[in-house]
Amino acid sequence: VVVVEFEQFVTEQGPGLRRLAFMITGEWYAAEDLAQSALARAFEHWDRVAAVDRPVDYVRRILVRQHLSWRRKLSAGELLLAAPGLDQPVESGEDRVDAREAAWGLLAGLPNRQRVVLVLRYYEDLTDDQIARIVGSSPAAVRSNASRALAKLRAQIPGLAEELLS
Amino acid sequence: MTDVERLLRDTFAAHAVQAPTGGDLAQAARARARPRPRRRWATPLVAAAAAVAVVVAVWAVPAGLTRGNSPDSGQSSGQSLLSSVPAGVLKAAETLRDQPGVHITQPVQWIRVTYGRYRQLATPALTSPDERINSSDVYVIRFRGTFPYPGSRSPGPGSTPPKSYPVQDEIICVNAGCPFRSGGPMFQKRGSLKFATETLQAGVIDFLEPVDLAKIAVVRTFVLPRP
Repeated sequence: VVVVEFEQFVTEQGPGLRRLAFMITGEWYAAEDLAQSALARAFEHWDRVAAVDRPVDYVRRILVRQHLSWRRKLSAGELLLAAPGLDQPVESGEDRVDAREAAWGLLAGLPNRQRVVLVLRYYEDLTDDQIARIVGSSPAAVRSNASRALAKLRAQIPGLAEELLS
Repeated sequence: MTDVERLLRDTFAAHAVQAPTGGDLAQAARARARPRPRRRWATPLVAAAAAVAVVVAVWAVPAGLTRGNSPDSGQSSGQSLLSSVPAGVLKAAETLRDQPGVHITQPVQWIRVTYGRYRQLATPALTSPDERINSSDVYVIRFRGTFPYPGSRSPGPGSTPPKSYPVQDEIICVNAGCPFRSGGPMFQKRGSLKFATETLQAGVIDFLEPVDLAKIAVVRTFVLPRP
C-alpha cells in the first residue's frame, strides 16, 4: 500500500518537484539527484509524510533543506576543478542575446539561500511566511534575503529587464 | 512588480521546460531510500553492529587517508550520486566514453587518495622524490570495458584490422592544489590508448597498472549517462 501511494504521489508531484529542484540548482544532474534524494527521504518516512495535510509541501521542505545543507557539505569538501558541462544550453532559435539567459546566469552566482528564496517567491508564488517555513528561517530573514538578491540582480543587469520587456 | 521581478518570473518560466524528465523517479527514489527498521528490539542490535563496523573500518583504513576521503560504504556497491562525483573525474570519464570504439561496460570506479599511497601499491618502491607530490591528493579512476586496438593503418598484406579487446585501466586525475604539471608526456600502459591527448585536457595525468583499489580506500562508483 505504501509503495502504491508513494508511486501515485510521485506521478502527480514528481514533475513539479523536479522543476523546483532544477530552478534552485540550475543544473540538470544536480536537480535529478536532489529530487531523487528528497523523495527517497520522504519514502523512508512515508507514514508521517502521508499524514500531513499537503504532503507535497512536506517534500518540498525536505528538498529545499537538503539542497541548502548538501551544497554546504559539498562546498566544504570537494573543490570542483571545472564545470563538466552539466547545464544544458538553451536553443533560443534567435541570434539576439536573450535577457533571460543573462538573468539565469546571474542567478547561478547568488548565494544558495538567496536563490532559493527567489525561486520560491517568483516561481512557486509562495508568500514570505510559507517560504520561511520551508527554508527554516523567519519571514523577516526571507524578506531580507529577497531584497538583497534583487538589489544584486538590479545592479548587475541595468537595462536588461527593459530589453526583455520591450 | 518591478521590471527585475517580472524578468525573474519570465526567466523561471522559460527554464522550467529544461527540468529533468523521463525515467522512473519513484523507483529511483525507492532504491535510494534506506530500509526502515522493522522491530524496535532490533535497534540496539543494529547500533552495536554499526559500532563494530566503524571500529573495523577505522582499523582497516590505511594511513595516508584523511577523514572525508572515505565515503559511505553503502554507496560502494551500487550507483552513487552522479552529482557528488568530482568534476574532473566526471570529465575524464566522459572524455574517454566519447572516444570512437570505446565502450565502458561497467560502472566507473573512483577513489581519492594520496599519490604516494597509490603509487606504493601500483609500482612498489617507486614513489616520487618530491614529498609534496607524494602527499598530494589525487583521484584514481578505473574503467572496465572494451577499447579499440589500433591495427596497422596502411592497406595491403600484413595490415591488421582494428579490433576491440576488453581492458581494465586505472587513471590518475589531478586534484586541486596538486603540484603535478597538467601536460607533457604521459605513461601509457598500452599503445592502443590513442585518446591520451584528449584525456590530458580533462586533467588526467597518468596511467598506472591496476591495483586493488579496495586496499586503499572504499571505492565509489557511478554509472556514466549515455551521451
